[in-house]
Amino acid sequence: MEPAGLPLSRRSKSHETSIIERQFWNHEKVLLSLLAFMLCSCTGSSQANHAYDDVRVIQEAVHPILPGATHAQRFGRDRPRGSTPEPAGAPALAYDLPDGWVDAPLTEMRRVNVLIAGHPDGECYLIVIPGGGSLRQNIDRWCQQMDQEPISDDAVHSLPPVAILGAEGVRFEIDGTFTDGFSGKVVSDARMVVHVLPIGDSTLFVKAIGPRTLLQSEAENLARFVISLRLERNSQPQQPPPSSLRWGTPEGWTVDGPRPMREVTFLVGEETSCWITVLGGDAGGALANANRWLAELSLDPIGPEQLSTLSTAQMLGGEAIIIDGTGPYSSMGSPPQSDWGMIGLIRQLGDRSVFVKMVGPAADVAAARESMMQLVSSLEISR
Amino acid sequence: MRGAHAKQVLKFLGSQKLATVMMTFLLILTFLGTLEQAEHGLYQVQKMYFESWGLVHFFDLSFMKIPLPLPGGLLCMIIFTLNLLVGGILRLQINKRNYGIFIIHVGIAVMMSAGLVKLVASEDGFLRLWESQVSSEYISHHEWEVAVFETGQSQVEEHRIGQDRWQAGARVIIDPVPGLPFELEISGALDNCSAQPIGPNWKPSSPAIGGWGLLEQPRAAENEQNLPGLVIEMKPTDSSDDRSQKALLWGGQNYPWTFTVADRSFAVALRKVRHSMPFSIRLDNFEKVDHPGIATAKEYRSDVTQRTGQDDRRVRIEMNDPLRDKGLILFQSSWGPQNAAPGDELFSVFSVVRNPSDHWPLYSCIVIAIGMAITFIQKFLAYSKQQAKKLKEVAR
Repeated sequence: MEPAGLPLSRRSKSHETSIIERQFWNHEKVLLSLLAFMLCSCTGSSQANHAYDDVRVIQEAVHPILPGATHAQRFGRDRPRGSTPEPAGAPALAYDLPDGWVDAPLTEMRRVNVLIAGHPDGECYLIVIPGGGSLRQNIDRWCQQMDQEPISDDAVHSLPPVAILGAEGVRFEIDGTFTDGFSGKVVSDARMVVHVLPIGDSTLFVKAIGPRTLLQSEAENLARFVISLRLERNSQPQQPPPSSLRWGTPEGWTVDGPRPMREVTFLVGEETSCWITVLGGDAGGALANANRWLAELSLDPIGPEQLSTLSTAQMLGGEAIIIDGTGPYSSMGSPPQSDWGMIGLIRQLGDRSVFVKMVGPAADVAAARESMMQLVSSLEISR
Repeated sequence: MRGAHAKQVLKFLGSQKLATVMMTFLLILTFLGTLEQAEHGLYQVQKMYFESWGLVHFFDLSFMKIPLPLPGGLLCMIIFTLNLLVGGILRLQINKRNYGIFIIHVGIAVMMSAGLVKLVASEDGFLRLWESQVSSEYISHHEWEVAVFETGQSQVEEHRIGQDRWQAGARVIIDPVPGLPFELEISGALDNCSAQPIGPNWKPSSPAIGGWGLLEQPRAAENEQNLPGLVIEMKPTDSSDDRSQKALLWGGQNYPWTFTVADRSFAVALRKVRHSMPFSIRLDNFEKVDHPGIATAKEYRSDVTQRTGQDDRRVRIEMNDPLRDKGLILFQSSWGPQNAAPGDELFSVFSVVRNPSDHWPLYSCIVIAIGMAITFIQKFLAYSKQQAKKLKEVAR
């Protein structure tokens, strides 16, 4: 163990002549070193125990908090959005605010934040979370927040569809006693209504929570509010940024229109599609993504040791792990498609992760496997 | 005998020779420090040359480096102040002919004291606000801290550990306190580093945690560009809970590290020191006036609302016209984004200074001016008398 306060013990040799090293009598370091020396002499220990310097009391946290954030989320390039304005021309979320509803301040996570009918306990907000977990996991968590038992799989699969941002998501509603795990706020006789829309490898949530009577009386306004959500461009429309990858389209495949979060989507067959996604950092890690994909086929999750035994393929100058399987395929609450197949490849490049995924009827996916591997081997980094 | 020694010491401390030596050292320090500033930046040179007790300056010849040990600016200025106090005040035989000299020395002592108070007790930082944004805190330019707090609380208690504790890579253990049921161990601090995913082409300067590591970088000359990093380990105090957790903290992180102990969620952030203000500032309007035809600012100003309790006060802050209240001074210092296009929303940046000796240099100058006026008038009157006497003698 190193003595506390001994200055500069960990500096590399390349910094030996840096200016701070030459300051051999900086008063703070001298005092600290003397203090450390005295402590070590007295206790015989080479480390020092300290108390906190002080306590500052403030009304609210000044940092964006992402509970359980991975290192990639904490250190990666996907910085939280705060007061920084969107680049000119970038699409902005827009909506029609129902009469009496009030805009609340945005937070780092909430891209839309309103008070339902201006009620302080009636919140409605939109968040987008990378990954976002499965619908089952989210519903279990919401049931727990509302002090209710988890609902059945049948109930999950029969959730009503809802249109959000021009795509089809699902709507989940539950009554109970709401307990906010973060603030500790409790609302008895509450209602929670959540609209869920998977977009690429992220998930968009529009969540309304508040007293049940309030949400009952504002149900129509809430539905209109959700339908009114849209993306608007502030100025002249911009072309989407060029992809960071280049590829050769396999024979017989056609390129589908642009989709959120995807570099490209290919239509392989009538029901089979294949797409490429690029996310910053490790995107939650290969294991988490592999298990999410396996869960979509109702397959058991694997552990780190099994991950290392998965087959691999050459992709972007290195080895990508391959996750494949067949089973009843369901993604974010969609009705299960029996006897479907999936082939997914994950390649981590350090600063980003590349995902190539194909799903469709098992026979079609198996038939398109060779073409998919051609696509994978054709991938190149363009920037 | 003891009295004789004391007199000798006082005589040495108050001697003009000592004053000359100290002024010479200060001159050398100023000269060498100014040269070093080009390579090492203002902040580090200030710390090394002017806020230290001693240093070694290297004359970098092409074939060798010649070291020159020097007393630091802090030591020189303390000795110089003692010299002033002893020589100009204590040992001065005050009479009506040297009142002015005495007052001048008092004024210089006040000036030196102002510098010492500023060094020890002042804080400075910046406050960046977009229009309509409100803040009641400012952020230090240079100092870092580790802040620990429980998340999701209506009122947040931030427990803080200053940079001095962990700066030099030392292993430091922070004991649990009521409300924080865990011990923290900080180690391996780096002054400047980047956090990167572990890859085959680099070896981290820290332990690899969660597939990421810290890569030490050379210190940047501009201290604001340095981003520290460290390893932190949390050990629950509940002996039945052995789930200690380890994480990397980095100055450039997007989110604090969060963990759960005893069903409570806590966050730890490595960040620039944040100072609370006794009032809040809301930026109502920011105006930038450009020189004709170019995008270079001619002047810029901020209209703010200062809220203290329930009282609002509208203030305009512009260059050379700061807001001064409750010991704080807010200067209009900058704006951004610097690459903003015409019509883009801008933010305003204020330099915030808390300096208990803010006005002392002014008082010192007034005192010195009075002392000099008295001295000059006395000299002038004495000279006039002398001349009149000479004229009388000539007339006889």
